[in-house]
Amino acid sequence: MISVRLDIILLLMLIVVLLLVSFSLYLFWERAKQLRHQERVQYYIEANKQQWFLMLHDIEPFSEQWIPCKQHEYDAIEEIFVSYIQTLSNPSICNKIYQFANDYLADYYRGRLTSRHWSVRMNSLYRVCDFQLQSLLEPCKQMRQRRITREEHYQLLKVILMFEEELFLEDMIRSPYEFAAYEYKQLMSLLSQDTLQEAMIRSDELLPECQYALVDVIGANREPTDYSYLKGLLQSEDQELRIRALKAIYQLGVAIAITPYQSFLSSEVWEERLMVAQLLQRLPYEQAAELYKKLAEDDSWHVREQAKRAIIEHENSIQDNQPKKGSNRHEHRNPSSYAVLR
Amino acid sequence: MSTVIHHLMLFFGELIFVYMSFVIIVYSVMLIFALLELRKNYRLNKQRVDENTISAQYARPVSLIVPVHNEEAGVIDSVHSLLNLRYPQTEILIINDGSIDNTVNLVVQQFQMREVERSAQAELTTMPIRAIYQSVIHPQLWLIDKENGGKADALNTGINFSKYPYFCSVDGDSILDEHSLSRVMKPINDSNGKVAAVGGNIRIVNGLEVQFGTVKRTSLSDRALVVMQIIEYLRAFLMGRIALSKWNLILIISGAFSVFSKNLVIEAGGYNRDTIGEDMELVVKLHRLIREQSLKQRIEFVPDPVCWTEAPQTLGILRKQRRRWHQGLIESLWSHKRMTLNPKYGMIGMFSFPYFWLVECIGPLIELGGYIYVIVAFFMGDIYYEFAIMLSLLFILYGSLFSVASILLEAWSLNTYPRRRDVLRMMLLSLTEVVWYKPLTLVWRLEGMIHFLLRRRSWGNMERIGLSKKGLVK
Repeated sequence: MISVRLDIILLLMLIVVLLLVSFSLYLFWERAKQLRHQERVQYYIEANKQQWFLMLHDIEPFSEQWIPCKQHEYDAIEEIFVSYIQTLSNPSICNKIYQFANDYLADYYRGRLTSRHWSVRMNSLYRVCDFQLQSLLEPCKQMRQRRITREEHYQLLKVILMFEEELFLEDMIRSPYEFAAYEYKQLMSLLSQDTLQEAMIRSDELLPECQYALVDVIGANREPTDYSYLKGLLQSEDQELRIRALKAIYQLGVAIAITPYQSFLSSEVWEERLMVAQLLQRLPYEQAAELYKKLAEDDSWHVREQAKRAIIEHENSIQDNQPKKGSNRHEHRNPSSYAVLR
Repeated sequence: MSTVIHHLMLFFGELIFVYMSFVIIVYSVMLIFALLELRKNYRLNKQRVDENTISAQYARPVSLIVPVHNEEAGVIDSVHSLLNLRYPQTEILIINDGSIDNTVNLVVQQFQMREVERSAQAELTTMPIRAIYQSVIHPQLWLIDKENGGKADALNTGINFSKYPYFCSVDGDSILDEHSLSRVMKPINDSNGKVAAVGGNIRIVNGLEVQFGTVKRTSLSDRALVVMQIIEYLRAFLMGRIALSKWNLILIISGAFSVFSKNLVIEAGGYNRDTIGEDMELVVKLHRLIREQSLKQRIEFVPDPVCWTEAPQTLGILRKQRRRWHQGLIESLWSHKRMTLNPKYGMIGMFSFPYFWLVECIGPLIELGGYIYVIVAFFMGDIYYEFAIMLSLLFILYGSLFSVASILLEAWSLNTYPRRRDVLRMMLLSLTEVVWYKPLTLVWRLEGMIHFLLRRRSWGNMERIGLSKKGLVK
């Protein structure tokens, strides 16, 4: 019995050793190939970066010899273009890059969009956005018919948003995947004001995380006209939505009346009390002082801290402004607080 | 008498054989999972993915907590590396745990700090605070000077002072790659907060060139002892943790570089000040909390984000470290022993705990027994001779070939050590593991078991050489 086991183990060892040796050989061969490729890419960049600079700056005309045909040329040009796009905001250069990419790189990326490797498809989708490859919109739309991952779907939404914004909202609502909060925020922050308005109208159709992202982006955009939408959300049954709406109203920077927020001062949820404590900064201090005092005794440390900070800030500002007696402090505290929105 | 010895030899031989076979099968499965997982991202342009996260100004903010105790050799590089991190919103809290060297002065001078006031949530009980400093040149950098209470106490202090919903524990002698934080935060950002903790990959910095908190050149240390630890880290992190993480079964994420949800940690009672392995203890407590409260939370390991840390360079210090680690492991398993084979805790109770008891905890005892058995069987000759050869082969398979496989896996997927010479050297050295390094670590871990049984407390101080060029030891 033992001899049989020994045979099996020896065989097993042999197989493992053979596998490891083969893998090692493959690895070293692959590594050498990668190294050679990398050297070629670097050589191309060093040899031609000046020429690309001249062409992209319209100093020298473009000639067909710069159209890539080998793998290392594609990779080198990609690297050059990415470095320009990341470091420059010159629209003329960027447009030239987009134009070149649409004319001469689109076929290359089109092929890679159908690769059987997920990572290759993902890299190509990133480049569709980076180089604004509008000519690949159709192949991208066709990708949605196939079985794709959450990451691919997200990148495709970005592509749709970039080239056919009117389809975006419908696509996002129908998406089979739930995305991360920061991804929704990224998408929402790219929306035009018109699509944002449409998203507000159709917000009930959006997933909760997407609704939260919408509210956050509205807050960050600081458009006072969105106040009524946010105020409407305060009646929502979703606690998270109410909290975010309160935060967004604070971010809008508009002056407020206390009445619609009175009930939140005694909310059972400390985050709501905290947000109202912040929001009180949009009231003249004389009106908010009593409320701050009450909140400074709150059960929650966060709420107490916020209220105390506001009181201290006010006291400091009085001290700072002491020599300038007679000046109206509150009048200029917030440039956008000229009208009280109710 | 000889019949009794014969039966005993057969029994122990079979026992060790069954154990080794079980471990080899488990490791093989883990290796395959790791391979599949790494293969998915093999060609992915990770820097492009990072840009996506970094440009997202909405990524969740993080408080970085750095407990330091007599870390004057490495703390400046460590802080520089944290200041170099590419992540939208962070605050850095250095918690000086009653250092008696020049740590505080060094940090205060280097980063132009002035004493300030800052209130904290007293959610976790800690030792008293002496002073709080804030950097003038980097307002997000804070130094909290407190009385000595141990690493767990320092981390709890950091949690009390942190203002963001997630905190990242970073050892004072470690440096992070600039993309580490964005990559370790990815599972949390992607899951809408459904990940309670994430651990990053730890690598050994000895032998590398470090300038202003950045690793400038990755080449292998000249010391065999350091290289063996590098191989050991590769094997543990790449093979074990990737697979365990996939099934939410991970019980250890390194305290040197992990991100946690602050609320959950506070609810779990924070770091345990009376345990030696406070990092494992916290992860087990979090798992327990998650299962007991039926929370939809995971604990993950991400192989990409790298934290470079200093490894012991002498046998004496390494021995103390391993003894302490093993004692900490047993303490955590013992204090949560009722989770073992308890269906209430799902796969954590039914798989992770038995696995950790059997393979990680009592494994050294069985493996050391295996070594002794092989030696005895060789001398006894006859049929035991064959048994000895068979077990030796299993030891080589388990001890050395898995290490070679991990090295190849790492070189293929992550390529931390790009020089072919370094990879070959690691592979050759790993073939010797089974004859010197493995038995040594087994003895030290056995000592850890004995220390646990005798309830001995030795914390062990690691002698630091520093990370920057002047402190470089090859």
